[in-house]
Amino acid sequence: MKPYRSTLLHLCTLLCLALLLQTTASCIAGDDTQDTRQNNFEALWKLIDEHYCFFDYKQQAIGLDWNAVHSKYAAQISEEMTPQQLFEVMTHMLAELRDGHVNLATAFDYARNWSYYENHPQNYNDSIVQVTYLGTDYRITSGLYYQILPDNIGYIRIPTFSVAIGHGNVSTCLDELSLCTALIIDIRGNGGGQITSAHTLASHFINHTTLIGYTSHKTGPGHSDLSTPRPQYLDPAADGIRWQKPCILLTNRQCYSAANDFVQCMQTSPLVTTLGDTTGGGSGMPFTSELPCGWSVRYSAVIHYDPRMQHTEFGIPPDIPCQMSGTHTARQQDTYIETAKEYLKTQHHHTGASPL
Amino acid sequence: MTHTPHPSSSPPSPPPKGGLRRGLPFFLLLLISTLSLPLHGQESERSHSLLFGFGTSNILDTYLSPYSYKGIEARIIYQTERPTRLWDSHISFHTQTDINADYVKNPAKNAKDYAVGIRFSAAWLYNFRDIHRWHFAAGLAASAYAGGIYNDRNGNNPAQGKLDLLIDLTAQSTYRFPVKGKWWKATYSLSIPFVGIAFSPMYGQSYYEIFSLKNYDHNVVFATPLNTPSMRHLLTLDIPLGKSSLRIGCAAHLMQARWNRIRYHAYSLDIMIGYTKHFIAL
Repeated sequence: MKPYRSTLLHLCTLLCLALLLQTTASCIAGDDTQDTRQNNFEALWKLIDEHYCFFDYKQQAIGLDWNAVHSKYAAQISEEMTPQQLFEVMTHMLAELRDGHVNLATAFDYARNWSYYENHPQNYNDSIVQVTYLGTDYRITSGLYYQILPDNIGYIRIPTFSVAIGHGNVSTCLDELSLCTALIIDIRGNGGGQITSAHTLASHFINHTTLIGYTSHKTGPGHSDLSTPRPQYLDPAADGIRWQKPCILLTNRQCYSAANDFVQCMQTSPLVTTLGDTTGGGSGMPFTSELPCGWSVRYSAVIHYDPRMQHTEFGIPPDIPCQMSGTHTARQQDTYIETAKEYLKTQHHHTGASPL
Repeated sequence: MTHTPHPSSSPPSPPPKGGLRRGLPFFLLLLISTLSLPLHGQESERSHSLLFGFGTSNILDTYLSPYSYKGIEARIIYQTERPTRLWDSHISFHTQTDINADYVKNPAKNAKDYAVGIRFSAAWLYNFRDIHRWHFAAGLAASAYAGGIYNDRNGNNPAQGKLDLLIDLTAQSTYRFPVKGKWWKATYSLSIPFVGIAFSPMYGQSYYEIFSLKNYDHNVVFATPLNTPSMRHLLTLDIPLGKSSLRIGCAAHLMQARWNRIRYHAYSLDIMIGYTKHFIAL
């Protein structure tokens, strides 16, 4: 054998042995643990501790101290608890985050914090909207319910973004409403859904590539382990109809998550005015994980900032604040829609803009 | 990778009894025994084999869940090998296509992962001189994997894509022994990823950010034995049947990674069965 071959082979063999030893000695394991009350509690606290994205912000905004939360609730855990009692303690612990995107799902209950709207006026009456404004001959295209109001103002009701909305759907709708003098988009009660649906719709209300916010994700288990916020742009709809007339966007406290993001996008358009109540917020993109007992956990993992790099986790205030009036309700009218119509008429009167 | 080198000259001597019993314990020493082996010329036989397997699986991906999911796996392995003229014809060329499909459940048995993937590897092995009935080969393999894991109840993190391009260190040993006048062959092969690149999302990064917003964050990672301590084992026994061989065996995959603080492992053990066909190289 030639000497260099022998040396090379020896080196290679030694390298193989070293690799084999390294590989054999390294075990990458999960957090597998016994399904006990204590372990489930600790697993939930740790999961949020290492993955939740709003700790720094909420420490400033609401004084959240996650270590103190652990001390407060760990003392309530015992192995004698029933699953329902454990669930109740966990629910209270998660409520400290004040985040509608944080949930604990079990076979017997669903933990949630909906205080972002439960503690506020609803500012929406579905039966009035249905009877007085939509009627029975409204049209529907993939989650968009639309009608032309007697004042020749277009009205689009979007109760959820859970339905996939395509450019064709939006263009069909806007085409039908193209002779209207203005548009009212009503997303009250919209708890979110697909962010792509929200962006698809918003892209029909801008004419240039627009900065709509920033995103930042967790890069590690530390509370401050966040990536540098990256700008997020929205391109105008390349095909179909782009709305070029005044538009009022109606919001209430139940506008959450993707609906909150939709409001954020629409506010970048000079044609759009928001009217109503502050949105519910929910600017974190939720991820899902679980506990040793199999309960599913949802938590905010990715932060969406607005174009000024501000958090919208606790909501976006409207351009024109508005509350439902009992007088309108007694007349089977919706205060938001009536106020929007009056505002649009006033704007049209001041600007003298052509209705077409 | 498996290996089929067969003595190219005279047929083997009559089989002594008890060869199987004596040969099996030596499998544990195969890799160590490659040290200081003398060189030997290479056989001129080429072959292909197809194996189907079924076994158990244990999958962890902390992007989806912090807990190991356990269940079943089906695996198909297709192998080819042929001699080359490289390094005085000591180098043989081997390919392997390895497809896995897994169905696993979380510890509470109320959530499921579905995993599928395909790994293709091409290896060049140096064939050492035979020692008695042992044949040894070792070398490098370039391998690529594409696959993914889907969790049936996660929301914005429902799946994890798996892509890697690795250079593996590969060793292989073959032992021939006679049974009732036929030459049976046992083969053991081992592959260890040495260096490469792989795809991984960042710790808490969503796929929406990566693919819709094009916000990349260390999504191509450098794989080393420190962050990718993995091994792939294959032990087979060829039983001559006419012009082909029945091949039975066992495949053990111990794939692990710690990329962007996301922990991953996929352990599997499959019983394999299939056939091998041999051809004479021109």
